Amino acid sequence: MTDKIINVLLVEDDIDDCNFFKTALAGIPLLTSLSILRDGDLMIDFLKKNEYMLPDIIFLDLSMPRKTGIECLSDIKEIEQFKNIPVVMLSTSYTGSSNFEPILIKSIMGLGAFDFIRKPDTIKSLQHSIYKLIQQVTNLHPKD
Amino acid sequence: MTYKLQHIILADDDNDDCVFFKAALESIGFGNKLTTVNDGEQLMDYLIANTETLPDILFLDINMPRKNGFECLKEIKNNNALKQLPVIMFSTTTAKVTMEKTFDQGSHIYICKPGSFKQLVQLIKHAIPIAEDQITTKSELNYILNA
Repeated sequence: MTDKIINVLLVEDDIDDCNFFKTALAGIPLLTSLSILRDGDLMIDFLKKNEYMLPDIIFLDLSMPRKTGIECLSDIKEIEQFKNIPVVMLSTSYTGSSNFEPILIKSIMGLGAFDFIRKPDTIKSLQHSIYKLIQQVTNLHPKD
Repeated sequence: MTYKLQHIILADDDNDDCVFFKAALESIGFGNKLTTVNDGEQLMDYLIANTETLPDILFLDINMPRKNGFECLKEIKNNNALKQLPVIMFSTTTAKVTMEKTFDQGSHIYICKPGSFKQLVQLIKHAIPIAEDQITTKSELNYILNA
């Protein structure tokens, strides 16, 4: 049993995907606190402002306006105090794009992403993936 | 790493899954031939047109348009020219009854498609040596690989 609250940051511009993620996260048997940013441009500022309470894990949408997920990932990995935060990329808004190729996955993993989640079919499958990933990065087990 | 499998075919209608699969094969150093088809009819047309040069193994999704994985598996195992083709089921379905049905129909490895890329890499890394061993030994042990 643990009382630790896992700080989760979601960077995602699509409101439906945000709600989908929020519902999935609420269903996992761990205590979590979710922050959502709708734009990658805001992310580094957010991290700087929360330097003493950094997220335990960041879920980052691949396809966003102004700054893409890959650019955000590069930004994080270039800053010493942020580069060890595990970043999981989400392909939720990328489906059907002709740009989604194996080379893209290779680049993302090469940049240091912790993992890459494909678009989920159901809340249950997203929940399963999120739970496994949070357990991997925090080494925590269910609260009851 | 060198693989005995020279040619893999993947039948899957989901583009993301095909891209993930291809990237996962590349990440484990599989540089041999990969063919992808996007529905069951395309798969059967491909196999029937290539009975002399069949792939070494088929990764078969279940829920596909036009002809689903069950129908394809049944046709493959009832066709003398195709029945030796080893089939690995590759599906998001985790229902035991579904897995057992595919084992009854002649597939011996069932991969539950994971949500994450790293998990997929791990599952494929496990599945390929099992498949290579089954091809060599003609073993009919059933395997369920789930992340």
